[in-house]
Amino acid sequence: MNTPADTIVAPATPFGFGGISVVRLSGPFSEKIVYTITSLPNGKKPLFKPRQSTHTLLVEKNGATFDDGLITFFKSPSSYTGEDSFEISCHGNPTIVQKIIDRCCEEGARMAEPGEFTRRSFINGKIDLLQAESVSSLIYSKSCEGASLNHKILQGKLSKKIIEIKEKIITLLIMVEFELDFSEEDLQPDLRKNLLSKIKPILSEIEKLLSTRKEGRLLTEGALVVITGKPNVGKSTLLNSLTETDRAITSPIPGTTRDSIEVSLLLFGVPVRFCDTAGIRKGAVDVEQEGIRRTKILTQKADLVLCLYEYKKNHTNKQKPVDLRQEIHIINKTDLIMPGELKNLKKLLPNYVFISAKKKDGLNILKRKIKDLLGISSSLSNTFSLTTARQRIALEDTCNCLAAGIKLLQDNNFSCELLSFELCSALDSIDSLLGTTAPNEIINRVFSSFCVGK
Amino acid sequence: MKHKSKHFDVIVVGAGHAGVESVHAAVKLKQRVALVTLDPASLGRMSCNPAIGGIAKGQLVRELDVFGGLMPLISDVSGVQFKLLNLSKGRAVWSPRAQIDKRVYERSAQKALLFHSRLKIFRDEVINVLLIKNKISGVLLRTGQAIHAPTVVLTCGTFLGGLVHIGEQKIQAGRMGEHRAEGITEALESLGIRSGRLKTGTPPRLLRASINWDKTNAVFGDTNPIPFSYSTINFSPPNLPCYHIKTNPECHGVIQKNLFKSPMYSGDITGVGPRYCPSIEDKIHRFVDKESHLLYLEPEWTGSDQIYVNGFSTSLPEKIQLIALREIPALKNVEFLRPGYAIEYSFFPPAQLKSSLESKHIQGLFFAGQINGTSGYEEAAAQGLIAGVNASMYNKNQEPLVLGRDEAYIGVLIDDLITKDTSEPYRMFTSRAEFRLLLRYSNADMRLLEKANRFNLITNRLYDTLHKKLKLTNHTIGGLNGSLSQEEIFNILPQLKTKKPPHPAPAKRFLKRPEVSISSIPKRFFTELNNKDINPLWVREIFLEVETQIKYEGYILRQLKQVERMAKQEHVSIPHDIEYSKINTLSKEAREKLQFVRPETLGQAFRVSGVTPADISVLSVLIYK
Ligand SMILES: Nc1nc2c(ncn2[C@@H]2O[C@H](COP(=O)(O)OP(=O)(O)OP(=O)(O)O)[C@@H](O)[C@H]2O)c(=O)[nH]1
Ligand SMILES: [Mg+2]
Repeated sequence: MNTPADTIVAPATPFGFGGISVVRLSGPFSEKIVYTITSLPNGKKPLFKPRQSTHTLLVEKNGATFDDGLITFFKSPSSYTGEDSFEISCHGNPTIVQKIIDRCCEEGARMAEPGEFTRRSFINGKIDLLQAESVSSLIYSKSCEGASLNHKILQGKLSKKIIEIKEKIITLLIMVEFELDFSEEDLQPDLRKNLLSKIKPILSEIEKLLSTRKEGRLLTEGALVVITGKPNVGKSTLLNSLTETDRAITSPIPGTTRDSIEVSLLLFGVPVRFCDTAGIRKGAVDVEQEGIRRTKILTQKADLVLCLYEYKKNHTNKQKPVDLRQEIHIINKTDLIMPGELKNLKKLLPNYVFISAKKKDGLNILKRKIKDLLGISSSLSNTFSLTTARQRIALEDTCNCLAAGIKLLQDNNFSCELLSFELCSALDSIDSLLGTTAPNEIINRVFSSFCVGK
Repeated sequence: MKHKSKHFDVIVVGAGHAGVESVHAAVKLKQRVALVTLDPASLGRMSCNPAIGGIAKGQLVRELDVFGGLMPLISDVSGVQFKLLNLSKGRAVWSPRAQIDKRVYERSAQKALLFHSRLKIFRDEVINVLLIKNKISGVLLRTGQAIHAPTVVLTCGTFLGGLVHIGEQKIQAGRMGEHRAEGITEALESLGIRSGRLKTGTPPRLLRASINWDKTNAVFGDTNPIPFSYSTINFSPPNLPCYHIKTNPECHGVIQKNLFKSPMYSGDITGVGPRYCPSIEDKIHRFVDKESHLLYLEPEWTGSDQIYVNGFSTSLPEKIQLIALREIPALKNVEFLRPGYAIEYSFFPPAQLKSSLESKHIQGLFFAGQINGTSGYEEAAAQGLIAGVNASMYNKNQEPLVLGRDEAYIGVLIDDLITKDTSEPYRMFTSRAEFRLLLRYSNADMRLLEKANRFNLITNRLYDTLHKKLKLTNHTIGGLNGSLSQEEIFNILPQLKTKKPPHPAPAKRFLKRPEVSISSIPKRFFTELNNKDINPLWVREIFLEVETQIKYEGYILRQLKQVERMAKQEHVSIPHDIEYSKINTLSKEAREKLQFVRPETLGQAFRVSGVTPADISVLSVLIYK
């Protein structure tokens, strides 16, 4: 086995906040390192048994405790990487995670390069390429890092789906290559119709798959929810109330928040990053203007925008909701509205959510609405979905090639060889997820599918 | 020059199409060459169908021409019908093909070579190779004499150890009626070179007078034919027809009933046959639904009595062949000159060769042609040329001529040979070339001219004129950046008249539209092409290339990007002492295959059959370490 000499460490969970974070350590010295940075509550040193979790204190060099955690030992070769590895579960706080990593490095580990766990796992023959994704992804992909078992199963399902699509493209390609290499007569009359009727469903299948990307991303990267609204409507107050922190400074003076503030929260099991922004108003001074510019960029990136309004006497429904799938319109400070008036208002504005950020009123309704709009559902973890940007890009490329192929097929001067090129390119993109198709593989399939040769 | 001694620079064994090109290239590179052949009168003989070129093969012939090969020139002289195939399918797959007068062909080949001053012919047979350590030093002939040279090119593959099957009848032979090559297989095996068996079939030859020609369909070639060779001028070849006939259910019935008499089905033949050229019994057995198969009746030479039935290769008993064919109206009273037969023969899996076609085991020993498991004249000729050049380069202590997969079909051919399993005779197809759009017959000069010049394979005169042609092509493309006037635009695209008037715009942009062809672009853009100096045959090709390069610009760029991506790993060389059997993270199959093939580069390793991308990543991680 090609065991690299050094030991690597990296966070295995993507988010700082939320219940528990995991740090993973792998390599020949991992046992020694973990031994040094832990201690049992009774002051003794722990003994790690393979596949067992041990509750220990995490200690500084000088012996002071900085957290406690659950430590699981995976002995070589029965670990993800095939080397001795440890998983350290600690409290979900970035400072603690950083601390553990620092401690490991102090004791001789080094920070893992992106994809290094996967690469080691792959080199040690623990996973095949489909699981590790393609060659280049070994270097770029993060998706296997910290993948829970559940996540791996999802990957397997995804591969299966993609292989299915690939097979369908190959079937088309075989027909085209037969036409190019064997049929000396003119194009078969039905070929175009036939190809068109086959290529279109493949395209929509991939498009459908692409739409699952949002769910997949939710699971791995989390959602970005941005709070916007005029100055002083209570954005910062809402952020604090939702996340139960006091990260954002609030004040009755409009224009208090000049730059965006982000706080993460685990909402129904999905990491959500809430982001407070500078209120947008006309005639703002320079510094504020910059904040406003950033707000605009943020809202474009957001998965969901919370548009916050303050109740004013004759509130008109001037700001028409733009896209109810990506925005929630909220009236804040309901504690200042007379109950009778509030009732009328709710009837008048049925799509709005009414809250009092200060009094923490209506927040649960808001949270549920956020959950719905983000598509967080209990079935989320049961469906497969695209997770990495690389997968998305590869499939988008495939889509583009197939769409170009359809265009070629619809053209009067249809060129079989260009269609072949588009199909091969489509295959290339898919292959970047699965592994390569040799040109001879196609020709061999042509032999077995057609009566070739004079 | 008189050869007093028995010492030469290159010994070429075999005078088929590979041997011919090897000799031709080597003498051109000023080598003293010995050619060993049993029958000098059969030098350059077309042993199978009377045609050169065709899909993907036509491209090979064009490439050979840039490298000064003989095949394109003599095909132009001996062709009796020329046709550009695949016209409706896209310009990169357009492939020139010619029906050939076999007799004229072999006469022309012999005229070009037999009396060459640097060539000495030995009418003999090689039975062993002579070595000094693991370097070749000559060959031993059956007559007992030895001849010496630092390089030997083996092209004696036409049915090495051939075993002919006609029904249950077995005959040990080379080509029907010809002497069978023996001896060399065992000699090479004893040196550790692995051999294998392959199978192919040939159709019966019919007596011309016994065919009812009225019931056939005459098919002619192009009325405005293009030659294979850039050196051919004043081209006005004959345009003789071929004839189509079709098999029918009655004919199929006869074959179906007698399938068990075919040695392929009785298990008598163990060699693997080519799936792209299946026997008629294969076609009928595997594709039951097809009611009829097309057959081509091809005269073998002008005035020939002998007619080749392309599409009816078979190893059924002669009687059954005859009964089956007589079910076809045109062949009701047909008589055979010779029945169809299957032949099994030996070859040496070419994965044992370097990309120069030199053996990885024995220095100075080159292999080319059917001995490497290929089928087809063009494939043989291409390897012959490369082996002949590289034997000469070896002698001169210079870098070998190696062509990339993105440069030439010849490159694809050789790369496939040295990396892939040869489980059936290898034939060229356009789909084997992943960079097909770049490898057009019409741009062979553009792709290969500089290399041909660097290796001294092209005459200065042809180089200069082709260089001019390419400059003219580029210049014409550049000229099309010039704008079309509004009126000119209306002339090309009258439908634009109804919309708001278009602004004058570069001609190029209009030519990119699928419905606009170069012939509708105003003449003023092509005044330079009226030049008297250029071969009028070329003008048509310049037009074609200009149009293609503009219309395909986007595709060509994308394809070039793919080439770039490939290039990244292509030239990473693998240390030759690597012990694959010890890398247990490689799959078992990869370990075995890599150990056998021992690829020179990561690119080659990638294409070794049975090696997965996962194996490659393991390898690259190890190499980069
Ligand atoms: N009564 C009442 N006051 C609120 C409520 N929410 C916020 N406020 C008050 O409104 C004022 C502005 O609140 P902030 O949260 O700072 O407002 P902001 O939208 O962040 O303002 P800028 O950062 O200036 O854009 C503060 O004095 C809050 O205490 C609410 O629900 N009820
Ligand atoms: Mg604020």
